[in-house]
Amino acid sequence: MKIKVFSDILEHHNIIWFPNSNRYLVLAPLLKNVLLQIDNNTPKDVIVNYIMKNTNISLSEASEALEETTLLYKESSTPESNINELNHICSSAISNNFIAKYYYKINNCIFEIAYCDEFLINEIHLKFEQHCISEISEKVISIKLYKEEENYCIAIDDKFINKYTIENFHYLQGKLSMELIKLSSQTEEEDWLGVFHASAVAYNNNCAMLLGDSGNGKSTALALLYANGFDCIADDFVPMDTKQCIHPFPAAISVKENSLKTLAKYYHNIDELPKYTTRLGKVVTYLPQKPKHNTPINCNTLVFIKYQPNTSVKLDNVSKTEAFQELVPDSWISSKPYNVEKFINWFRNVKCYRLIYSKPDDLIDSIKNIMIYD
Amino acid sequence: MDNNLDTQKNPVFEEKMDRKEALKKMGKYGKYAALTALGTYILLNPKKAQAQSPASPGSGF
Repeated sequence: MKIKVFSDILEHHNIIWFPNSNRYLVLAPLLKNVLLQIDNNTPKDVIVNYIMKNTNISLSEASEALEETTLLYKESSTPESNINELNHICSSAISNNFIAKYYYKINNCIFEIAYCDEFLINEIHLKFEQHCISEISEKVISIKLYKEEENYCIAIDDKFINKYTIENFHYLQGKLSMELIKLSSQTEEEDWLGVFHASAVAYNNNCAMLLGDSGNGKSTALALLYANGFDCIADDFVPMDTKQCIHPFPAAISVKENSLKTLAKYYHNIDELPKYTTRLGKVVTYLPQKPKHNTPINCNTLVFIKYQPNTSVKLDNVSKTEAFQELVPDSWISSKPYNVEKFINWFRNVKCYRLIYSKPDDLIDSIKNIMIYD
Repeated sequence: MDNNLDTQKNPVFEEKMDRKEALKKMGKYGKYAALTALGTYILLNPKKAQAQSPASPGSGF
């Protein structure tokens, strides 16, 4: 197997990408050199000598280190064990029992989405309701969302695509979003570098991605920025094409109950907007958004944000190593080798920040400053 | 993630600790203790497919 090494991206570490598994290993230079020798089938005694020459460890320790590095190499090149649970190639007949059908116009493409239950309407329709149209005169792409036993299924133009357990429902949402963007832009999956779990905003012809764990306030920050002169590019599902540009994704911004009080100052009709209680008891409100920017936009800024009550605003640079570690596990990244190179090249040039805030004005000023002066 | 490069969070990488001490402490942190002689690493897995935020309990902001 030929692994791919990227040496000049992170501060003190290298990146190795494993094509068989689409996994990334971030590692120190000496460890990288040993892994490369394993990949090149260099004889063990040569590698052990190399290790001893470059460290102060004994022969037995060097042999043990080589043994473990070989295990790490094998682990890194093996796909995750549960990867197949998302790939179902067959299914029984596509259902025709639906409780509602709606038409949506997205990027000049008309979709008819049929829903088999209320849960799907709440989780999906409400996010795209702002794009509903009542009359259609053009060719329509049919999407059916239905249940087969306990699983939710997706079919497009009467072709079964995949099925998902309720625990994997967020993958159905991701698949649907990916299909909407592929079909409306007439592209294939290999035309996309990745999809980031982030919020994307534009200001002054620059785009920034807001990242962070769920609950850190990405969507609330996006809603605050959108109400204060920024353009909303995408919430939760941020697709990047092979030209390293972010595409606007037209789903509503989902905000949680805890942020409604803060947002009410900026969204006077927030109480009248569609809201719904998720299966885990969270109340979500959907804020419709219309991107002013409807063309792909370059994004060279990553801001890892965290809302922390009663703290002073804090904006710091983040090392590339730290940013890479946080970005990759939270993203879908194309497994095509030419796309991996482009993804890494894009990452090479991004600037990374960490912002902790408690007051909306501090958030707005900090992001504005980053985007004006970057 | 299988290891941690962050020296602030992981006592294994404190500068003044010798290798033997570090390996002893490493027991609870990682399965490849001997290869730390060659340096630190972290294995990262991108998501298996495109996804949106998973439903999670908790309040969040």
